[in-house]
Amino acid sequence: MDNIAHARAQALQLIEQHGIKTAPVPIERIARALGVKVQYAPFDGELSGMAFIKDGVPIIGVNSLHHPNRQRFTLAHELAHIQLHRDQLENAVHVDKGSLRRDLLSAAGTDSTEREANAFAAELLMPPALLAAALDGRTLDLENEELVAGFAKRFRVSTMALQHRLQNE
Amino acid sequence: MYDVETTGFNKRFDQILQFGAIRADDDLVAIDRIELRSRLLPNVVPSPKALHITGVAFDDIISTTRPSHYQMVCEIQRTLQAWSPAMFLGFNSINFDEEFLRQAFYHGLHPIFLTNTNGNARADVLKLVRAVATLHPNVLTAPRDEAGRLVFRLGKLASTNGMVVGQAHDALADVEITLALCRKARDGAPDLWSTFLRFAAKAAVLDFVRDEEAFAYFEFFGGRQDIHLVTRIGVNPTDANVHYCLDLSADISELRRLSDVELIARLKTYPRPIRKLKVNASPLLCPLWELGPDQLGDFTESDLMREAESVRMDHDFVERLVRAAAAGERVFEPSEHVELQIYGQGFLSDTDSALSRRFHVAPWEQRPGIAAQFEDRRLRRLARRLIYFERPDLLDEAQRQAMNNEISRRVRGGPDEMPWLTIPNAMIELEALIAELEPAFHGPLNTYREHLRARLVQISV
Repeated sequence: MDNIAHARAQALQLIEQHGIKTAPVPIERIARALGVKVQYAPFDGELSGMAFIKDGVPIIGVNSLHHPNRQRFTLAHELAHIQLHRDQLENAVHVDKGSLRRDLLSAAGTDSTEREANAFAAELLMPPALLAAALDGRTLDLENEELVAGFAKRFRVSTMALQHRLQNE
Repeated sequence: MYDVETTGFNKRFDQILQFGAIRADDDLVAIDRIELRSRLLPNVVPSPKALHITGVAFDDIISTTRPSHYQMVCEIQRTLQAWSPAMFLGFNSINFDEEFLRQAFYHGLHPIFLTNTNGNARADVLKLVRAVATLHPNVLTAPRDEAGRLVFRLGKLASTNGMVVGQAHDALADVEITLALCRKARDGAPDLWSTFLRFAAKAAVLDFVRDEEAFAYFEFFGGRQDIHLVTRIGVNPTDANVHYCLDLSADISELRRLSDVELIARLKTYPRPIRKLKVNASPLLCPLWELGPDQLGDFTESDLMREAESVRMDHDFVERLVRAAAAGERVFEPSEHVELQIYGQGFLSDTDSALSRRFHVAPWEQRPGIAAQFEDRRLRRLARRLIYFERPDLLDEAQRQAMNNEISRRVRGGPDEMPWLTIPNAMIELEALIAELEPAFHGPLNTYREHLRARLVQISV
């Protein structure tokens, strides 16, 4: 299993462990259940969030000036760093700036931990089983903005995140 | 963080005399600051009580060494714009400073929602302090008055909590105290601090109240900090920022049995089963799963979730509740006074927004021409008034005389009660204040009395 597949599997395991059956996925509650402290603060500029360990407690900072959907993706992305890359966090603060956008624009240039965190976040917020249930056998026309927006709203993610997720199924 | 000192307490008719703001980073370290003052506008009569509290002399506020109100407002707008995107905080700011600031922007032909649009958010530190002082009294202590009620005045909070207090009611000194209170809350009650910051943005509040089946709403009312366990049931049909939330501790079976008329009456009695939550006023909210048994009281999270779900699934009941809540709302008639027309007419058109930007950069000689082009009648009136204040020579004699007369009528008042302070009413307030105060404080008030008398004579002529 490569690292991306492992990241996705870890996310799905959380969905199962927490008995998530309907969208939207309660990402903050999952984080808290994992012993993570979530703190909101108005960070400067494009800084989306950060993850770090303080006195043994994993902490995720989320930019409170960003849109709630973006905050949810940030939270899931930072949770990935805590779940997947904890050893790297022990001595450093991990800071992210619009990681999904950066990944979309320059997939090849993004380092592997970021790609894993994005894959984890996408899987956690839009698990295949919940997507399939929402689609109910239909195919989502990604050109249909209204329909995509409706689905994104149901999962409380941005339309860009949903489109990216469906294109990378 | 910012604070204003004003000519009085009337947010629509008084003006800002001093504006102080500190720009802090996300560690609450001050990185920039600004302090601005303005000269008294000719159509504003300062409240003697406000002058006494702020300790500002009347001679000072009419001094030509102070910038005009318009100059100050433009400088505030430029600075806050340069600091954006940001979270704008103040102490008791949602009801007071924010409203004064918006009114100043409105009179100065600037966009009024600067602090909560285009990526900005706003929150009121008073709400945070009330919650922290109640839930974590070891972090922040609120002093009590003689009757034993908690007091949340900035100066008293500062001295009770061992903070260095500068000159009371000086805008920048008050901002320093507000910043210190925030640091204390952040360090001692990080979860509340995080919640406070999270719900400063309207989008975050909307998202939360729509998505959570039930949640906790911290509300300070009647000198008490309450935690209401509620579910959102609808929106005020005349104000989309007011959401109705049903208190799940109410006797819901009883409410279901009431007729429509009985329901309207019941919603007006205490304890009110419906809480009004203003989504754009930085409410303090919390998911039920974060609450401890003390805060949940006799309920469990699953009981409350079940009750909330049963209410929200009962569409007929929800519709009746929302209708009854809306029926109890006060209806305000549109005002003839341009100051009171600040809200309710939506955002400016693109044409007017572009015109107002042109107005600010054009030479004064061109501004009367731009003012005449505004589609919005309110802006035409405000622009004309602004030109009269700044460059009366650019108006023709008839317009100038009309403005003179309007201002004289305004400050002189008449037999009817006016929504602003007139000179005769200021004199009454002043005499009562002098009677109440020690003679040591009479000097500045006597000076102000002379000014008021002289002004009355002047406008009578």
